[in-house]
Amino acid sequence: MSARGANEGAAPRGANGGPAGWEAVIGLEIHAQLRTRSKAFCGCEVRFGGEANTRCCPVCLGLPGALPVLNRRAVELALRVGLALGCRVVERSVMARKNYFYPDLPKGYQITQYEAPLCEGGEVPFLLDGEERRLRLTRIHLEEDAGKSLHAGGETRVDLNRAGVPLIEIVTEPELASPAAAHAFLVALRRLLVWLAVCDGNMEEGSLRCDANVSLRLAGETGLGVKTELKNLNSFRGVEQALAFEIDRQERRLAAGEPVAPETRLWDAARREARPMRGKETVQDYRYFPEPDLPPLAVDAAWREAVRAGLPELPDARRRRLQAEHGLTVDEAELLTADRDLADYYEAAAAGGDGALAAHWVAGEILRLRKETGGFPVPPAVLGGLLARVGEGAVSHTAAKAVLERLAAEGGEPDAWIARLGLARLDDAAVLAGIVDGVLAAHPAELARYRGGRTKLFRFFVGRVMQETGGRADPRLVDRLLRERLDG
Amino acid sequence: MELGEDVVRHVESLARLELTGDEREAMRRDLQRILDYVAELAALDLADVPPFAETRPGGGVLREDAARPSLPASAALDGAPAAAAGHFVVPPAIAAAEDGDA
Repeated sequence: MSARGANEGAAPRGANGGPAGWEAVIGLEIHAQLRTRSKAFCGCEVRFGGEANTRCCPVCLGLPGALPVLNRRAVELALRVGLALGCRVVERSVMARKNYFYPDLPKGYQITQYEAPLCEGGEVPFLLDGEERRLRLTRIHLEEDAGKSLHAGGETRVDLNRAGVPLIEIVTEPELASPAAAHAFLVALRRLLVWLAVCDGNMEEGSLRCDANVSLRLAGETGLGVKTELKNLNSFRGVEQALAFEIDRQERRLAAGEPVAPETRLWDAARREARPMRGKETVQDYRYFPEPDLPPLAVDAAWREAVRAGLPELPDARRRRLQAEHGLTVDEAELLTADRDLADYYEAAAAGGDGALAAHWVAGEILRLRKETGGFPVPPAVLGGLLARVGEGAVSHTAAKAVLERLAAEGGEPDAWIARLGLARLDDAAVLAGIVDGVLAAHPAELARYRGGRTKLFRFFVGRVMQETGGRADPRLVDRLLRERLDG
Repeated sequence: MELGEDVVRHVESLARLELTGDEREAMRRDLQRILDYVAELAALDLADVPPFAETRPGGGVLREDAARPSLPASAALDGAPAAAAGHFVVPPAIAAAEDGDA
C-alpha cells in the first residue's frame, strides 16, 4: 500500500474548504516531556504538581557556578522516538544556548539544540479519513523545559519545579494542508509517544504541547506566504479550531489586499479567538551559540542499535497486522491499537478464536467497561472463552452480555455463569416446538391476519417466542419451527 | 566586518542594558576588536582540523537517571528579591495569561 503525502490530493478549494483560491500550509512544533525520574541536567525529581519550588537545585535555578550534566535516559527516550520515526541519528549533536529573558527561565537562556540536533528527517504515519498519510519531520531535538508563571493580581509568580525537565521538540515540515489533517497527525503522534513510554501524553498537565505555524498561498504556488505562529493550544481540538480561525482570518486579509503580519498569536479557547502576542522575534535575536558547559553529545552505533532493538512493534505496523491476521477494517484496527494495553488485550482475547467477533466485543463492551472502571475487569482469556460459546451458538449475544456483566462484577468463568443464570441456548426442538405451539394458540387473531396475507406478523411471533424463552431460544430453530407451522 | 552603533544598541536592548553614550562607544570598540580577531582566525584554512570541543575522548559524561534531594524551598527562594507563598514574585510579565517560551 502506498502512503500518500500529507499534502497530496488537496482539491482546488479555499483554505478552509471554501471557494477556490487560497490553500493553507501548516507546520507543527510539538513539545513532549520525557518520562524520566530526574531533570535533564540535574538530579531534581520530575513530577507534576506538589508544592512550588520544592524540586529545584543550584543547576536548575541557574545559580552561578553550577554545571549541567546531561541525563542519559533523556537521550535514550529521544532516540526511541527518532528511531521509531525513521529519523537519521546524528552521531555528534550539539547542545546550544537560546538566549532570552523571561521570569520562568532562571538562567536567562534555555539549553536546547540548534545547528546539530539529535535527530534529523523521519516521518510520522497517520490516518486521515481512513487513508494512510505521512508527514515528514524536519528534526527532533533535546531541550529543557521552562518553569511556570502565574499571572494574577498585578504580579507574576514563578514556580521552577518544571524548569529543567527534559523535553523533545518535534518539528514537522510545513506540509499539512488542513486543520483536520493537523488533528489526525497529532492523534497519531501522541499515540506513538505514549506507546513508546516516552511521554505520558497528558495535555491537561502540559506533558504534551503544540504550537502551529500557518500561512496561506494561492493554490498551485510552491512558495510560502507570511506565516503566523499559534501558541497556547492546549488540546488537539484547540489546535484544529485555532488553525481554522487563523486560516479564515488570513484568507479575509489577503482577499482584501491586506498583508499578514509575521507574529505570534495566542489562542483563547474560551473565546475561540487568537490575539497577537508579540512581533515574531527573528532567529538572530536568540543569539544561539554552542553550550560551553556541555560537550557534544555522542551517540555511537552500538548505543543507537541497542535502543533500536528495544523498540516494540509500532502502532502503525500493528494496525496493519491486525487487519491482515484478523480481517479487521482499518477503522476497527485503528481503534484497537489506540494504545498498547488495548491492543494486547484484544490480541489475547482473539487468540485462536473469531477475530472479527472479538473486535466487535472489545470495541463495544470492553471499552465501555474500561471507561467505567479504568481497566479491564474481565481477563482477555475469559472473554475469549465467552466468545467461543457465542461462536458455537451455545449462548446468544444478549445472554453473553449478561454473563459479561457478572464476570466484570464478580469474576468467575463463563460456563459457570451461563449455567447459574440459566442462559444456555434453548435448542431442544421438542421443547421449543411446544413453546411455539403455545404462542400460536395464545394469539388466534394475529394468526388469522397472518394467514390472510399480513406476513410481516412473522416477526411478531418470533418476538413472542423469544420473550417466552427469555431470549435463550436458538433463533434459527425458532425460524424453522414457525415456518413449518405458518407456511407448511 | 565593521560594527556599527546600531548593532550595539540592538544587543543592548536584547541584554536589557542601558548604556551611556561613552559606555556604548567603549563597548563598540571592544566588540570590534573581538570581531577583528575572529576574522583573523576565520582567514586560516582549517578544513582538515576537527573541532576541538573537549579534552576527553568520546562523548563526555552522562548522568544516570536518578532523583536526588533538591534544596528546601526556603533555600531556593533565599536569594530572591521577592517571594510569596513559596513562589518567586516578579513584576507583572504580561497582562493576559501566557506561558513561557519552551
